[in-house]
Amino acid sequence: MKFDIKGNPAYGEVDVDLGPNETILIEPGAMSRMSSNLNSSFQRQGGFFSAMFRKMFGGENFFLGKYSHQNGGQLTFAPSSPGSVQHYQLSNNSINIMAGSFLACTPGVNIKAKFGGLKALFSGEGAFLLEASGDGDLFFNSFGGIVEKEINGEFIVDTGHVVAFEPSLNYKISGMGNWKSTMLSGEGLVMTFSGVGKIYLQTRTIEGVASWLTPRLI
Amino acid sequence: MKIKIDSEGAFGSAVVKLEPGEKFVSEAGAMYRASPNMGIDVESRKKQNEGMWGALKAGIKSMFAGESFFLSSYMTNDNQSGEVGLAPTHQGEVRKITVGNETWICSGGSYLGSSGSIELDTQYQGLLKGGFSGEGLVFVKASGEGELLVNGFGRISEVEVRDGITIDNGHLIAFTEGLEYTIGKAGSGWISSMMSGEGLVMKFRGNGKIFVQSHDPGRLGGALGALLPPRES
Amino acid sequence: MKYDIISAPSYSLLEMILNEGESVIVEPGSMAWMDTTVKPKTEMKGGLFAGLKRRMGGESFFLNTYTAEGGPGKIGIAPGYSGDIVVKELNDETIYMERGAYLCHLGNIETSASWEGFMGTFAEGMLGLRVSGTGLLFFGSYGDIQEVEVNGSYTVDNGYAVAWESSLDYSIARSGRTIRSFLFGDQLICRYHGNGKLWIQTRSPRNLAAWVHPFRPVQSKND
Repeated sequence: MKFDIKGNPAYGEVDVDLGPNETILIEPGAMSRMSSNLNSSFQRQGGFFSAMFRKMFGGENFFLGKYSHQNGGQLTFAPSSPGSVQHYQLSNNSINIMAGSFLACTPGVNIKAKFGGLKALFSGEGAFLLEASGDGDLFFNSFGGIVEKEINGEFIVDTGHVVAFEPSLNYKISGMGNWKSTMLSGEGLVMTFSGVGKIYLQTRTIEGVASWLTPRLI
Repeated sequence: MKIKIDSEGAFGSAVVKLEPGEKFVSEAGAMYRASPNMGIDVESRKKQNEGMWGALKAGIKSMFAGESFFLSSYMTNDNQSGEVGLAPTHQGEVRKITVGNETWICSGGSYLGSSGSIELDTQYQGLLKGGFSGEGLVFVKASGEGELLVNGFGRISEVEVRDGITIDNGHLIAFTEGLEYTIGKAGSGWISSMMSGEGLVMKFRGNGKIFVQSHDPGRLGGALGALLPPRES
Repeated sequence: MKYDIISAPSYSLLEMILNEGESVIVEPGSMAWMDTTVKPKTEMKGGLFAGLKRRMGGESFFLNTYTAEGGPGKIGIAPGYSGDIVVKELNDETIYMERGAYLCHLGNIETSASWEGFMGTFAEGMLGLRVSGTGLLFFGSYGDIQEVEVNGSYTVDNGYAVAWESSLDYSIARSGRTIRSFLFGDQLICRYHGNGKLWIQTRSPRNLAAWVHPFRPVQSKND
């Protein structure tokens, strides 16, 4: 499979050239154009039968669009939000991605839901994680610009700004500061990361757009 | 007339410099800045020789195209040169297309503006196609000689079509007249099409050029709308 | 204090490194990330009345102060909307800006609601913010930011003006002059007069709010 990420940092989209019988799995609705011989079909991910798991999955459906053809074909896919697309090669390792940032992967990659912690579950933030592991290509996206940081120690990030992070990092979810700060300061939940590892951050959040638009609605 | 397109960042816009007597037309309300001598008038959408009834028909048709009922037209009012800046609603690129040998058909919401010499017509797509393409019932046809400005959500790519291509709903900007399209299922069956999230797609046939946008505003609208307070109607 | 505007020009984020003891005052909801040495404090700057004045300007009741304690600290600041961030050094000057454009500042700067020169702006519901004093000011634009040195007059559509120097005057007009324009589709435009700097953005929040309307959930009758 050959791929080319175009349009970063503002409007990342991925051109893929599939060889005969090669498959790519993409987030529902992400296909934007494809050669006439390809068909959209679907694949169910994992064993998430319980309704509770499905609700917690939030940003991602547990079905993925599946594209393949005996003769191969071309397709282009893009995330729902404008921003950057990042490719990550998995080689018998894993990476944690926020549910809304997952874009696509090849069949050798396993996607599993991970708890974000009780606070995340009941906050209504829908902020919880997926764990991508195995062998293959993983694509994730950011809302706005994507920033890579090497953490060595502790670092606090507003939950909406987290895209992905290496499993060597530990994290804690909390409200920012004391209760008054949390309610009044306008900040929502934050994740405090500790340890050594790489983290991917985004410079905008869809929740930020919603808060900004709300007083301006007609 | 000079058209300067600013598409360096993610928010494309165009500044049109007009000499005295030159006219430019745009989607109503697209102007965001102008020199103080720029006269702005409202025009109805009609062909050269049609009267008010033609204008009304065209206007109503346009509303279904996702365009507004009227067009704004610009000309300086003091016999000096002037400038007018045009910007679309969404973030994304603005592209200039030179109309001449080819006639271009723009999907609803993609038309931004055009030089006064271009003839604009609204083209009814038919209930089946228009109702399901997600692009609107009516497209805007631009013919003649001059410059056409289109806008897209995301980045704009030009695709050369030789046999055919499938474009997902929500990604079409404009195509050359001569290309034919049908609305079809994305997958081989209805369940496949719906479960993959793609639903319906536009299948193009023939030879020509298509401008497509990288992102689909409907997908962002869905994600954003879900986070907003409910509306009354 | 050192700062860097990253991810410019469309998804700009301000990364600031505060020296120990240094503080920055920030619009609530704009903190993206920070070192653990940066401590937040929520307070009403200037007391209750000042808080109310700010509230009517469309800015929140409260402003957040972030201070680096026990060492230097990095903080990342960004608004909710996409676009650019402008940095302006104020030297005992006054700037008027659109509500919501204010991002953060350091130094002796006062922000308050402003009624002067904002008459007739009911269509946009636009109340302005008056920002004055001495210090470093950061504000944001929805879309690209364009600077115009006004020398005489210039026209901007309502909703696209972000900020302007106090040396400029401002009046609202309708775009067309014929009856047809009046009946069928005028724009409300702003004419700036005088000599001074005007900052324009290339997208309108009101157009986005109108577009997103059909995507909002519908209020159920049982609410």
